[in-house]
Amino acid sequence: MWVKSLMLREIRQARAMIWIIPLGHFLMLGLQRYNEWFMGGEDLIALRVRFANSMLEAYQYGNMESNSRMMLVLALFVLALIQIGAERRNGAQELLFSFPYSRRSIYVTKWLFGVGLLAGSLLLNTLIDMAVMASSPVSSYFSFAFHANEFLYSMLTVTALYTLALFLGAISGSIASQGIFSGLVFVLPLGLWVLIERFLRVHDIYLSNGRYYSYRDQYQFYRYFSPDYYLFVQYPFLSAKYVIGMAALLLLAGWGGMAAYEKNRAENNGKLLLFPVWDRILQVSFVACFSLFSALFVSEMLSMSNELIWYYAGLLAGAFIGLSLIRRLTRIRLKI
Amino acid sequence: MLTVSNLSKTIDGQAVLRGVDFKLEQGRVVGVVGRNGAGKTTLFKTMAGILIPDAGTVEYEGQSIHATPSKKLNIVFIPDSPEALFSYTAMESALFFSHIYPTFDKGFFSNTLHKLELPLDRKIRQFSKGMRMLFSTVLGLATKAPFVLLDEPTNGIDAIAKKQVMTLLMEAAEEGTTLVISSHLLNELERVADTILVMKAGGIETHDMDETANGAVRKFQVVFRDEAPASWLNSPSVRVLDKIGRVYTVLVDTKAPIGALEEMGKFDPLLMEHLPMKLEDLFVWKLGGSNYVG
Repeated sequence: MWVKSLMLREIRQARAMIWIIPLGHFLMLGLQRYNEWFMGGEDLIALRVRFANSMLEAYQYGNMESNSRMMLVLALFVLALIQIGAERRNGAQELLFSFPYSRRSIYVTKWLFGVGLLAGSLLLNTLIDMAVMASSPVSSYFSFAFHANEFLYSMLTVTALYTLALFLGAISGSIASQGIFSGLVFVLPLGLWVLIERFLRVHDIYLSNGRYYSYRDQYQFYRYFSPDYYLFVQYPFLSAKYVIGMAALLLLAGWGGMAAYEKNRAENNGKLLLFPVWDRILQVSFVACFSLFSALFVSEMLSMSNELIWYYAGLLAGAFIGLSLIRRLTRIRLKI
Repeated sequence: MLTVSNLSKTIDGQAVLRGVDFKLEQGRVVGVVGRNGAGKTTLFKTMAGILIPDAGTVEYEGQSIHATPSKKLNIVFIPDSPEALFSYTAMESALFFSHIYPTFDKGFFSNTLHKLELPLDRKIRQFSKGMRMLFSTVLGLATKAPFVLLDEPTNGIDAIAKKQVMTLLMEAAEEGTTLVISSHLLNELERVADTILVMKAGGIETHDMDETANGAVRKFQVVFRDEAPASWLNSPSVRVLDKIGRVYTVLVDTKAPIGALEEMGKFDPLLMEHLPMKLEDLFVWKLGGSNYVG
């Protein structure tokens, strides 16, 4: 699976990311830690030290690591765009496919490059972070276990989401559609939940005892599909369910991405999606979401009474507009 | 030997390749001709492993290049633009290819580029169209792969660059490299090719150049004594290439069951001169369609 010439090419293609990712990571972790315990007036630092009465408080419950994970995921999503989406339009993919390597080897090399870059950045920045903590005024709370757990969990979580980004690249037909689908990963779970909840509510089906509730507190199952649920978990709450969730994503996206890349239909480059089966799924999902959103919008804007009627008027209008929109969108070939 | 068997490919619901069959032996120069959109590039990309066929196989020495990608060491595809290497210099490209193709001849690459006065240290993006094509051709030939597929190698380049590309190709052919060249420039193909693959409606026909000259279809210049016989001119065995006054240049299928050649003799024309067949004539005969007017 390891092909040196392909790896050298990946390094060359994404060489800017080789320093952007560790540097960005440092800005989010090591520098923040340094600022926390070394920058500012002596009084301020003394105040911070006074409030740090436990290992968790000294490490701020792992919030800096959470923010770093988010930054890493965004950076690796960009890397996935460079590795797959951009190659579809500059002829690089066709050149790669003409080489005497299996598509599986090409895909695995890409994945290994991204994961290697992530591991390197995590290792380097964890060591910097450890050095900062060990020399800080709260060094008595230094915990190797904290660093090790955060390292391993970040490695798993970011790798899983990067693998998902590569999978999306493997089924998308252009860098633009890959970018859109990658962005949807972050907003779709909550967005879908809002649409479904509204649909149920106009039919007098309430998922809580009252009419008003918080999405955040009471109905959390949509969050299991949301990346931020896994990225922003605080250290004390880190448990097996997060690890299992991300491990499952890693396996599924890894298998799916590899299979899609092996069957890659280069003749469909430029389309929204490469495979007819995914095209059909996209069309149905788009029409469903568009009509539900239209129904929500119309019923919110117009319904003084007869909410259900306005809701269905919006639903029908949305279905019609959504259908014609997606038909046009799936026919065009994007140049970007 | 490179064997293409029953190759089919449908793109956007349109059958671009339909059961394409042919064999290429080593040391041949093969021209691929066809109307625009006939599927030449699709055929090349499928033969190079870029596209996956819906049916059929491309085999090198009996092994499918899609199932055994390492066999692609023996087949190099040179597209009409080296866009993928724009960010590389010529030398960096050579280094990259030398990692992939163990037989890559760096000496040949450097010497040939030097001979062609192409800079080794300039980015390919900064090359002119002609320079890019020359560079691509040299890069492909330097791999020393036994089969080289060239998609429109002389398209849009000036006469000098064209001559240089053709010279390079002829030198490679003399060394035993099989060249498969797609081009609309039939005069060039005629000079270099010993086999012609004619693509039409997704299918392919193989013709030896010798057959083109002395085969079933023959070319005549005819001047009829009286009014030109419309029914004969419109028969499926006859194609009018050109008409100047009463002088007709026609292609006649001598093997047709109706016997168009004998019929022409019966009209007792003032002039009936046999002309040498050219590749362009074959192209018109095979691909001109029923509406072709010379």
